[in-house]
Amino acid sequence: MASDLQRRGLHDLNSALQVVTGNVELLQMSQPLTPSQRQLLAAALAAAHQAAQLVQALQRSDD
Amino acid sequence: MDQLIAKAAPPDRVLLVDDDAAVLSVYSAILGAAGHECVAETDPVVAYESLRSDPSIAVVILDLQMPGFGGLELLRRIRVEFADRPWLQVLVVTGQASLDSAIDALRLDAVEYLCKPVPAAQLTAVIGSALLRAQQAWSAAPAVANAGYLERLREVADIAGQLVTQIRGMQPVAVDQPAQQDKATQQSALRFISQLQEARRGLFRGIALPESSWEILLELMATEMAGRNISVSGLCLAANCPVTTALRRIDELAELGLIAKQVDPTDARRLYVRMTDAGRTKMQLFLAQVAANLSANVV
Repeated sequence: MASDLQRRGLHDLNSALQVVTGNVELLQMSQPLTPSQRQLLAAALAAAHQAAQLVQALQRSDD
Repeated sequence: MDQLIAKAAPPDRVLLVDDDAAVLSVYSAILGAAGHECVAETDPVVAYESLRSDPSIAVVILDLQMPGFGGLELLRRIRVEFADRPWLQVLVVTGQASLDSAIDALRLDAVEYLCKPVPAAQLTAVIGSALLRAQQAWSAAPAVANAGYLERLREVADIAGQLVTQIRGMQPVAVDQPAQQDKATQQSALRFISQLQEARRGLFRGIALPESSWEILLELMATEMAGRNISVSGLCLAANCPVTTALRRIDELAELGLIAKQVDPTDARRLYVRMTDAGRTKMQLFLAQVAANLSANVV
């Protein structure tokens, strides 16, 4: 069983990931972007989504 | 309630509530880019006051875990305090999802329960749908008011007020002692219960509706009078019986032509339940008879 501190940490991590993914998506919407810049942003977004899935898996294991 | 009648422009603003300012900034930027006007608050108490002073708010996005004043508590207060704004659409976005909080949010008529991080496209889509539903409900509100519902609600409120006055005047009774009621009061109570049962029997000749079916019909009538929609899952929670039983009751009532299921035009994943004209007429007859009996026994 996770402690309250761990739960709070996972909650805060999801909020931080919201800020990361949201800002990356906002950058993706902005113009103009080179193909290389788009690639970098896509990689950052994919990694953030992977982290979010990991956090959710940890939260589910605590249910 | 007079706000239902006196209207200016349809509500179109989005209130964002999250104790994390960086999250609010992202939401505002994403929704702003989609053309939505947002009000962002990190303090739930201030958010509550903003809602009170700003009737142009149509949609609220709430975080659940906030210091001092949680999102569910705020949602509960919104439903009580702003019952006269049935168009208000509330969405929950949480960093710590759980089945219990999802059920609680659904019971309080939250229209979405999302987990952070929410993709920008999804956030824009759900807010767009919620705004559409809010404006449809806002537009429908004058029809509800003109149909005489508000007058009826006031009559029922008057009767409830009389009941409260009578109850306040009663002497407290110890639970292990028989109530010291006079015979006339007991007879009056028995007569009312008997009239209620008779009204039920008389309404659907030859059909004995189970108690859970009545719960469903009453909940549907209440949501309709409040100008709100209710989903199949929301109705199942209100039926006070196992979900499988509630689903069966909903199907039975639909077969009787009293209620109908309807796909939400703004979100095909959601199935709403509404009263049919026949069902509404039956329930109006029933409520009128109950109100008449109540008045006769109370006044």
